[in-house]
Amino acid sequence: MKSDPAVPADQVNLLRQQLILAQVRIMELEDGRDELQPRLAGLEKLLTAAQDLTDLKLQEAAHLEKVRADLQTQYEHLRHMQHVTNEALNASRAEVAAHSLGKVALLSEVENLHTLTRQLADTTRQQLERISSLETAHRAALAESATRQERIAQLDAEQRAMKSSRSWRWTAWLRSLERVLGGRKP
Amino acid sequence: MNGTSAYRLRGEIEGPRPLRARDGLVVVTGWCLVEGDAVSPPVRLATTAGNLALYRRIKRPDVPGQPALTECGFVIEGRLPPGVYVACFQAQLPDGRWEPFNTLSLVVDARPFAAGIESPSTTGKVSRRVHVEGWAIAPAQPTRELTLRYGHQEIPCDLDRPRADMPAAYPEAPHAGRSGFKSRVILSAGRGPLRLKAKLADGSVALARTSLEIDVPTDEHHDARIDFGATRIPLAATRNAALPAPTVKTDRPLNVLFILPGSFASNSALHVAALANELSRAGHDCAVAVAHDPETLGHHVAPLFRGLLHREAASGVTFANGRGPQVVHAWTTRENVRVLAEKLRADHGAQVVVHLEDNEQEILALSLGRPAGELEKMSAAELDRLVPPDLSHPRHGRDFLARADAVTVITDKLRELVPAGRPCHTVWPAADARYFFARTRPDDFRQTLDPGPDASVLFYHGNVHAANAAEVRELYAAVLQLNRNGLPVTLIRTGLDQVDFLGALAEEVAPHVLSLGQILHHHHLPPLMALADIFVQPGASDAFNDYRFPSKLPEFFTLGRPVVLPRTNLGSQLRHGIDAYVLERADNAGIAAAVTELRRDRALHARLSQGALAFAEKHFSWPRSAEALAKFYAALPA
Repeated sequence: MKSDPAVPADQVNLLRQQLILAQVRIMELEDGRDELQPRLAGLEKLLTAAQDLTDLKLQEAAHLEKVRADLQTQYEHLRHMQHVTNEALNASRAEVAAHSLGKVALLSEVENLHTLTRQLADTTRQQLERISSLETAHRAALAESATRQERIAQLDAEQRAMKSSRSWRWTAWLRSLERVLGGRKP
Repeated sequence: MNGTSAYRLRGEIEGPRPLRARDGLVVVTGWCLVEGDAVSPPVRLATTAGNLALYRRIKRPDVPGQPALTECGFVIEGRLPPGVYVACFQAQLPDGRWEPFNTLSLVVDARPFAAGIESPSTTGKVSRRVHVEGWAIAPAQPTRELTLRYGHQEIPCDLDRPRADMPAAYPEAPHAGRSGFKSRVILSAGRGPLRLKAKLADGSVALARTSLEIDVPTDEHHDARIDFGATRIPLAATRNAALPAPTVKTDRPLNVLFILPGSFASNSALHVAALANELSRAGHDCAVAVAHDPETLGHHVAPLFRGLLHREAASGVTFANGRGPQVVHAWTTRENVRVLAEKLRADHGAQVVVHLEDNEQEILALSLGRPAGELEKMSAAELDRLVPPDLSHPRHGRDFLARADAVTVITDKLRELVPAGRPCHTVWPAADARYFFARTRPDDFRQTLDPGPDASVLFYHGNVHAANAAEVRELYAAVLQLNRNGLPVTLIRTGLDQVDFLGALAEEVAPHVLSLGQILHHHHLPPLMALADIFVQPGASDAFNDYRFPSKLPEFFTLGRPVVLPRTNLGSQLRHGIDAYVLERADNAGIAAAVTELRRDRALHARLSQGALAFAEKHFSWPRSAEALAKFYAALPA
């Protein structure tokens, strides 16, 4: 610097000049700082506001997400219910189909039964007729039986009369001997 | 985006996205139409802060799907309060309903502080010494103070001058009608673009640049030989490119509370801050309590510890893990430190380590102006009355030391004061490696300091107080002596003078001393220190110096210049001619002789510069000091 004729030769002035230039630089830096600080503060405020807005939107998004999740759950539940209902419907349909088949079978069975009933009625009628004839026969048999019973009673009376007769008693020894010797019952 | 009613709405916003209203003015362009309708619908911008209506229509032949050429283009313009909005663009359907066709976010900036100059001119260069007039307005709030700034000048202005034209331009500002100003005085010598700096009602500061260039070459305070357009010679403010490796993390982190007797602006605070930073890097949790001025923590670059006041610490200190301090490191036995440390020991059951860095009794004697022996004989009551909180009480201090769990000392000589059997560890100070490292001399700047080719610069930083006044006077006397001997020497001095130590010497030595006052930020010192050729620590072996370790010494050594110092404290461990220039007494004569020899013998100067660096490399390291201290803490008996 000393060789530069533009600068003062005096050492104090040289140093003072450098101090002034340093002060100039300090003031420039201070001004730079003072320019940046409000901008930074403004940006801080905006950032805070943006963050608040973001938070609000996040809350809304969270709420909507919750609503969506609830709807999804409801949808899943409804789908499940639909599935269950379908299953039940299918089961019912199958059951109805099975019942229809059963009904046909039953109808057929009923028809068979009707046929059988008719046959049974015929058989019953025939049986009744037979029973009637048998009853007639039975009555005749009973009448004959009574007749024969009377005869038996008559014969029994006659037998008892015979066995209580003196002649029967006097011939008893002969019948015993016959049993011993002949081995036959009387 | 299309509407969803029976009418089919089509539209687009074409302004630069995302939408941003600079200076509070919202201007949005776009187009909108109802399909099949030959008439373009009215549009508006709806926000929570109000609606902005259609400002102008534009024919848009480029928009397809128009039944006929319509003015479907639009401009919406207006002002909204600063903020972030959801901007809903709506169009009015033929049935009268407003329906949205687009929704975007909109950021509205605040209208900034603005100013205009009207006298002496609105633009160009001003070289005359005149008043400056114009207007300045911050729409959101009134201006409390306004200054003109250019070059190194700052000129206050008178405010509240009427301006009939401004309310129309700033209808939202009730104070616009009185936004005129005039500089309080005419322009002083200085050169640079004119700026206006305002202090606003809420205390904030705003700045506006103008297109006016001030170039006033001289005035009654500025010599015409000073060239405001000269090149500024900067002092390098670089950081060390070769920093030490990161500290190894501990697996047993401790909660450590340091208690300082003063503020963060003291030399002790530099040591504590460096140790606390390194301990924090290693995984310990550190806090530092100071007696006053907690804002001085701002003097430290990126502290990794918490700062608090004694009175805050007294009500309990909780660390990040929810627990109290495990180690309370009381920095000296001074009364305010002792009282707090005793309380915290009782409250938290913490181990108390006391650090000694001075002969406290000698400092007390020097501060009170009474011999140490006399103080020893005083009654306890008398001492209680005499000893201030920031000095060590002879008896309480001794008792405190006796009750300490351990002691650290800055120099081994202080072990003489440690009670027998007490664990003791020596913590050497170091220099902040981020800023203190071998720096080359900025010769360009030195030329502004040097009166001749053989000139030398010495540098001394630190306050002058009762304890060191005599020895610093010796340094000043040596500077005067050297200049008288024909060896031009300038002493750059920083720090405060707490006592008048020069007396009659002051006037004579003044031309050779560049006093820069207190440098608040310690890391600003190294670029200034780099201007020096030699560092000198004045003094001699005595009851004060033998028990201390001047904290500037590691900083001297790490800069890579010869260090001249007395054979006491660190000096007693250095090799003269290898590590440093060691004098039996670093007094006027000794210093003058040492500086003369170092200026004459370039080889010795170079050798001691290298020797200083080598010694610093080997012995001064905050990471190593902190690691050793952490091991000492860990080894303390439970």
